[in-house]
Amino acid sequence: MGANRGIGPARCLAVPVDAPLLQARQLTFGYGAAPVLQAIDLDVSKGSCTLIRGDNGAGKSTLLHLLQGKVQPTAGWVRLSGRPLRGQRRRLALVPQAPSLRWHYPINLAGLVGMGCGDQAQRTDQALHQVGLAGLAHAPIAALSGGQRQRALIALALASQAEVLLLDEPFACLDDHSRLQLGELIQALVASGTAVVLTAHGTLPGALPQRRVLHLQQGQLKQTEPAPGDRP
Amino acid sequence: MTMLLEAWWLLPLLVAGLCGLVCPLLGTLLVVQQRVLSTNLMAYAVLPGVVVAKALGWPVLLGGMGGAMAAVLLAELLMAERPAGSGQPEAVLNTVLASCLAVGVLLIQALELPVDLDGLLFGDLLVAGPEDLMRLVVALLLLLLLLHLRFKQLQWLGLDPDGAADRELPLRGLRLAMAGLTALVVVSATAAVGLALVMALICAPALAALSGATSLGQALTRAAGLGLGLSFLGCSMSLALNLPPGPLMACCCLPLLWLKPSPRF
Repeated sequence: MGANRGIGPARCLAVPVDAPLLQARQLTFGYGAAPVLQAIDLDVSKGSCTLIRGDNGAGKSTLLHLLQGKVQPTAGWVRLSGRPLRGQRRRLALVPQAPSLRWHYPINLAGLVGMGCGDQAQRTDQALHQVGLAGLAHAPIAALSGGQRQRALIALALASQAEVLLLDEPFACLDDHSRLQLGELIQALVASGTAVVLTAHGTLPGALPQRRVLHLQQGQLKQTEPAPGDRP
Repeated sequence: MTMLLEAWWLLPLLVAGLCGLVCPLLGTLLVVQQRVLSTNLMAYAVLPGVVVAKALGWPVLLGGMGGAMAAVLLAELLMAERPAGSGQPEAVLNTVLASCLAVGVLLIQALELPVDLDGLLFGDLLVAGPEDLMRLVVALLLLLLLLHLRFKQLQWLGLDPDGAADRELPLRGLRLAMAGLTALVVVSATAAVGLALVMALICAPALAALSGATSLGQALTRAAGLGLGLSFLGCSMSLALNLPPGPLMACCCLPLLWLKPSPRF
């Protein structure tokens, strides 16, 4: 169940150093007349971890959906490697707080993860090892626990070779052990070069990598000092 | 053809058998895609389409499929503004369903058409002709072709429609193909089980097959086998009891629901 298997030892990386992999400029969005996000600028580099904090309803999930291209902004743009998202959305993977995936679908875990890579056995095995679920490859997805489901969705994203992982409240509703495992997994993914953007409120597990902490408040994104619970 | 004419029971048996194959195969896809209610709507909306086709002298298949597709489009339009998960979309679907049935019955009376309403609603295998057999063969071939060419995409559609959209899969085309195929299967199955009973053959074997299945392929195979068995059982009981086979096939579906799903093993 080691979260780092197949990746190598986790290490802390400096943030951000390269040209941004994902760029958002003047991103604005509102539901009807009410603005939710106003002129958001965000750069996400390869192998970086960005934590977005904010109260309930601050627009954290909306921001992730905009970054993924699922929702279109009323103004501004998002680019991946300098190009518009259209046609390359597979390079981004959003793991939502309430996934739309139907967990009673007749498929086992290896089958689910394999769907991300055209059933390539090697990539499926690698992704399952990365998230520490190789032992459950043949289990039906309906039998997975909450924490295992989170990691299964991340494995699906890894099998799809997503370069940017957008995790919406990944630690919500997880017990301490599952939080720790997921924190270690995120640390390992960042160390292997995956860019991770996650939203959270409340305390975070200690295993998370060094990260940039942004606070979403009144539609604006502000860089803040890490809170005590955010420190690696 | 000579054999079909001489052995009177062979054609009905073939029609029933094909129905028992094609309905559960399609039903398994519809259950996992959560499209059963709209399929029920299509089944009832076939009636006004068939009546209009008969009145205008058009092919019954065209009228039936047109009615089913028109009803689904109407329901989608009316449901668009209703919040999902509120129960309102289902209420809209059921209202459109009842209205379609009512329109069909009213049209038969108003136009004074010689339509066998009992036969349409509950099936009549004894009057099934070679054209019914051909329709079912075409429906089965098209379904198998869709499964062969688009199996992965159909899996995504059932497993995670949002994820499928994220992967920029051609969902609209896939949904349209599924709707067209559903309409074709429902119209084709009318001869065997009728519009009112076709849902039993679409749902029950699929539900039993999905119980404990570890893959969609496995569920499809099981559903087809169960459906075939049900058809032959219904036909055999019909001969033994001298009762209509359609309702007997639908009755045989009920015990299958006692097979409970077992997600953990």
